[in-house]
Amino acid sequence: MVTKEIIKIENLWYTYSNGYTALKGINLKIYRREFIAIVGANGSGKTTLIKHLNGLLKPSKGRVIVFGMDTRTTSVARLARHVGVVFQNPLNQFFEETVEKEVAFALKNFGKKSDSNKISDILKNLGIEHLRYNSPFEASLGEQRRIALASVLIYEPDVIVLDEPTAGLDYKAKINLLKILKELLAKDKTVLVVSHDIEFLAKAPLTRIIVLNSGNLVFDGLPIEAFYNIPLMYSSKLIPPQIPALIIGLNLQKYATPLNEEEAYETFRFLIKKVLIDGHR
Amino acid sequence: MANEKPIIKLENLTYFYPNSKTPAIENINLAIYEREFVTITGPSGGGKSTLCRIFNGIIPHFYGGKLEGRAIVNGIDVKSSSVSELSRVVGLVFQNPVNQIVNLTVEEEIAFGLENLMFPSHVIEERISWVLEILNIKHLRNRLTYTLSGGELQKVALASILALKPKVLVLDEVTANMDPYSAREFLKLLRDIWHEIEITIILVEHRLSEVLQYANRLILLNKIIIADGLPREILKSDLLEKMGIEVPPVTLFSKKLGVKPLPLNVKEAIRVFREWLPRK
Repeated sequence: MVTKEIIKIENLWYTYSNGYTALKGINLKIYRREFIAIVGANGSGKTTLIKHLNGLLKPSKGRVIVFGMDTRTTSVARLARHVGVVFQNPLNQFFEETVEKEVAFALKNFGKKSDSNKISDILKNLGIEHLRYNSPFEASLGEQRRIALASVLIYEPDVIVLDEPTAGLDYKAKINLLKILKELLAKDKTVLVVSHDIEFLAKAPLTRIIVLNSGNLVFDGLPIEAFYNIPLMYSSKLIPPQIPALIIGLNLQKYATPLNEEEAYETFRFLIKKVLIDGHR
Repeated sequence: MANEKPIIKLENLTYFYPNSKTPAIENINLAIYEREFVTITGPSGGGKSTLCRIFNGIIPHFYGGKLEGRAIVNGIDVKSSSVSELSRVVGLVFQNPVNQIVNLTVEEEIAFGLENLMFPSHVIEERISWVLEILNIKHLRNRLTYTLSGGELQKVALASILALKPKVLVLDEVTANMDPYSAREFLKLLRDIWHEIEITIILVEHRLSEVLQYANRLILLNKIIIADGLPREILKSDLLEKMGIEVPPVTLFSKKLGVKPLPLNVKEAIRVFREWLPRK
């Protein structure tokens, strides 16, 4: 399968008007159907980076090419058709009086017809159908995040970017979110997640992890390579997922490299056998 | 501890927010003793924040609504007391420090609460130095509050509460906006404070992975108290999973394998598995 390059970031620098340089020469290519996590401590440049993907921020130096369009010369509206971003604080993006109108707005905005069935499907899938005629401002934080996600999913952008989607969600809601993201990937979408929630990421079928540290891209590779690299995790102010930390603590990583408890459980019988045969301790 | 007098005692406590027909918490009976480090967890909407607000009286005094039963804090009945009286006993730190910080510099921010309670200036000065010292943030003293990071802001919010020397410190999802590393640092700091000064800590958290090792008591709340006891005992049951609470992955994994004693964090898990592995 040939995967198509859809976003290209070349030597991207960004300095805020107060003189703070948030991104320092980022190079990154993103391909169709990827599921990428961007991780790093607070202030490492994650949110600044994703704001460049739909042109909300323009590079101070370097360039960002999105579906062949240079973001410096393309309007946010045009870029947003391809790249839908769900920000951390959904209240900043709501302005309609009902959830239905809020979700329908994006369709209208992109010159598409309002589609009642489609809105129903999306609200149902996200478990917020009962809020359809309520105000988005009265919903709980977890519900508001889902409303914000619905108003991006409705117009079917090629790339969906989520900033800290699990913050404030309980475990059940996180598992549901994971299911929704998997469905998007099955529909050929590309998903980018900015997240601190390492255990959530350890459960996600990620194709890649990008680690930012003080505006520098310090790692770009497979989840296993990142999560089993304890020095990388700690130097980037990240806490490794528990299962890799346990496997490394037991010095079993040459036998198996599970990322979460389900994978660990699957590989454990095999592991125990190996340990017995090798007399490993 | 059991023969001491509780610092907080709730008896058949039920609360309805204004215009709400369903109670936010229902028939809560709970005694918290001096020097305990209690973690309260539960699903969203399970009444955790409601309970915190009752501890310092902003429920019912600011929120209104209907509070049934009795809540006694340090011998004072919450219903017939006032927030200003209760806030001398119970210090409450919220999730979002930005909403809590009102002054330009860190020093002014910490002094603010003390000034409001009419402490003499030499005491204010003493308290500021003391709290900056125990939280290890002396370097922040003259910083402008709007230039601080989220983690630093939360420490300043904590400092301004601790400076009042409350008997009980209540923290409502204070690490929610921090990255995991800062959250871990903050929780370690809390544990150090708890060791250093005479204080009761009530920590509301859903990130159990980081807090279980510090708490000597875990309360699972979903409108009613579902469980109340030693963290390890509660984790042995399936109550947390059933409530949709995230259980530390090493604990979950160990449970599936039947590993004993049940580890609550990675360090414990490594120790337990080293013993367990060769025997299997």
